[in-house]
Amino acid sequence: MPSVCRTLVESDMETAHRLAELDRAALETIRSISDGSDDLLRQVVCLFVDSTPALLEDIEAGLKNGEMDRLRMAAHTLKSSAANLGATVLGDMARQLETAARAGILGQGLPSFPSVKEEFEAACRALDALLGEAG
Amino acid sequence: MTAEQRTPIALIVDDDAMMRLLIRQTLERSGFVCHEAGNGRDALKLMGTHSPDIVLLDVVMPELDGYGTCAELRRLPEASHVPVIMLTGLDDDDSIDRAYQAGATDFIGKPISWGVLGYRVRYVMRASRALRDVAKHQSSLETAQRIARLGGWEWDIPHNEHYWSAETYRILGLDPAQAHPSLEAFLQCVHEDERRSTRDAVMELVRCGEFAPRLIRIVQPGGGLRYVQLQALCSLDGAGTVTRLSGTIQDVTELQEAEQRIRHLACYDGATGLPNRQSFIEGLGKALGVARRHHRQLAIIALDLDQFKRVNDTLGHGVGNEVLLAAAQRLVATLRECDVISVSEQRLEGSEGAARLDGDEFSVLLTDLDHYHDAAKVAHRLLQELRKPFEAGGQEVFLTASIGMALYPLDGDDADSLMRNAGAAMHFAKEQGRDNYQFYSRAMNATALEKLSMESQLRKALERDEFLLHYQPKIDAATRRVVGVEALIRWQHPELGIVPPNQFIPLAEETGLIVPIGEWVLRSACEQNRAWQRARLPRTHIAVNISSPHFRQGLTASISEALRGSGLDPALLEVELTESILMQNVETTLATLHEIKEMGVRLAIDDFGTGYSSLSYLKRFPLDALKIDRSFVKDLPRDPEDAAITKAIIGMAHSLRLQVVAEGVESREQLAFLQQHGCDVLQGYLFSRPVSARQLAQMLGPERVAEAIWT
Repeated sequence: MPSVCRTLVESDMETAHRLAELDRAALETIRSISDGSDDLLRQVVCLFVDSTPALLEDIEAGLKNGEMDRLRMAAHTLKSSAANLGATVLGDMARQLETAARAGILGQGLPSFPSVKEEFEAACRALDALLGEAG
Repeated sequence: MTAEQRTPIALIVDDDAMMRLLIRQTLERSGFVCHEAGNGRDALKLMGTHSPDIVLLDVVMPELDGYGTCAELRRLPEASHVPVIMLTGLDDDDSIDRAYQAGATDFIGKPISWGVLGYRVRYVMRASRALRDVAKHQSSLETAQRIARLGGWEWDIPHNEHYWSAETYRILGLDPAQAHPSLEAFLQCVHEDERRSTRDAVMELVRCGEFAPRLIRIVQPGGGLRYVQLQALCSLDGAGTVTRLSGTIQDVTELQEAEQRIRHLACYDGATGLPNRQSFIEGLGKALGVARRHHRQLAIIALDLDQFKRVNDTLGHGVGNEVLLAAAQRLVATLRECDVISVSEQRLEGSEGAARLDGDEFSVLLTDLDHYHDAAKVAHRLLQELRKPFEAGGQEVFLTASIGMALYPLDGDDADSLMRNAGAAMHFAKEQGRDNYQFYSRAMNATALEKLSMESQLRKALERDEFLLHYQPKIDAATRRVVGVEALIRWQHPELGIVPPNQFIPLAEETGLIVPIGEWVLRSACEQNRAWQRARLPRTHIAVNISSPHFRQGLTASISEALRGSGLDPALLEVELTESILMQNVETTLATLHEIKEMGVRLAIDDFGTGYSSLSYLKRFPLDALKIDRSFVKDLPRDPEDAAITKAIIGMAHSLRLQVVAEGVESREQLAFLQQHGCDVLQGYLFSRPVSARQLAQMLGPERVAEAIWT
């Protein structure tokens, strides 16, 4: 099975868990930008898979050490990239973290780092499945 | 190429590679060329290198965020007008405000609706360009108005509200912060001579809706004077009432000044600063109108510098111009205030000009002329002034001029024919040998020649050796031999023939030429007598008539010079002086007479009996002879009074031991009377008319003259 990228394959091999819900409309929009082909989508997914672990590190450290700026920046970026790929749950988690970081209050009810990480991995699996299906 | 036509360039600034990729893909599909920057610093650098037409700027970036980037970008001269779209979270109103404050043109909320991004970006670009164009038009209109120095103004009459544009304030020299626009405030700026008429014109526009554009002067608070063109229109309401005036005020000062300069260039000669021929003809036309109405005479003088080309050729055009300017100044100084002088078109350098204009021609208009003689006097003065040497280029330059004159109304009644005739007369003056003046009317020349123009000819007569001496013998009544001759001057004029002395001696005296002429006579007479003596003719004294100016200006020196030069025995020279000469300033006269006497020269009193000689003075003068005036001799012996006077003079002269000479002896009766009463020497046509030196030499032969009469 062709994988989009190595990280995704490794992740896939370690934990074969659930697939995240994806907003198909967002993905179709990206397809439409590249005239219906999957080329752009592949690139975007690859960027998402490659760059998100660094954001997750920032989120983890930000939450642990109370580094609000670090948390806010990372959450902001994750929010829009997740939204672009239709990973709405992950995007919403990121939005909550960003808002809290801007307010400077890391109160109750915020998504935990493990839950964010798990949701990212579920999104990756779903995207990989989607691209495999298409490819 | 306009921004509309060429491919638009977008700069995408986002730290998120995915966003950059998506935006890039989207915009490239919409026909953009895209450049990317991962942070604010890189974005600012790329502004200069890529000159994007639009910037998409993410707000949240590490280090320099979107607001800071936008603010800095606005400070770049090349980026101040580039539209910037900020990408903000839709949920964040605060960030939208901040985006605008930082100078963003528009914002797009995230998540981005990719489908419309291209349209949105294009729209922002168009709107931005339209705004910029409006601003540019506004500013180019203002610039155009400033360049044209065109101010606008309006007057809302019902509300009495005035509006002046920035340029209007500038033209009026007023500070918009301080001045309050109103009709009165405007009129206060208008030159007082035009204030009333300007107010009337504006009120006329309010009443009748008509306004004649006008040129008025504005006096600025600092004293600056501006010429402005004032234009105005009115707007009417439904009832036909004027409710609003709108107008322009344009500063045309520079145009006015340029016109004046052009007019000056067109009317004045560059080299001399004098009016040129064109403006002279205009002036002449006006003067003719006045002269016609008031029945006045005018004279038009055409004056041409003789052989001026020679000055240019030998000394160069620089010196030529210098001389020309000096000549012009001299001419102006010689004329009266009311006379008008001009110079012909500027001298052209190079062969064409030199060939066409041999020298430079001046024209002079003499108004208020009482008599044409006055014109001749002016011409005479002009020639005289020009003869004085000019200092130019470190040397003396000598000039003469030829003058032609035409008179109104005699020689023409319009400018053209007068100018033409003056020119023709000038050419005639050239033909006459230059350095003289001529009237256009030959008849006037004939009389003027005798009285006035003759002077220059007289001057030349000396140089050209046109004078000659004739000699009239004096006969001793007792021995009947020639005892002396009187030298009489003649002028051998090249065209007029022999001119008698009474036609040129008065002029020669008037002009002072009599002195050099007298010197010439003395010198020639002495040389002639010396020549006769060398030819072993009998010893005969030669008498020379002396003029009053000569007597007072170094006569002694001329006599000794003539004697030394010729080597004549002083005893053989006699000077004849009239009564009137001797009786002026008797003491000086006495001294001069003694000086001459001491040289051994004979002295005779001429034309005796016509003046008012004082016998006591006569006694003191060291005289040798007395000549009875011919008027007493003429009617001898029939007129008893003349006979009595003649007898008395002879008796008195003898008592003073003076030899008595009678001149004008024409008849045998006269001869008999004079002989009978003891007159010593006789002179007159009876014996001989004045003759040439050669003829006289024959007479000096042994007793031939006397024989002819007494036999």
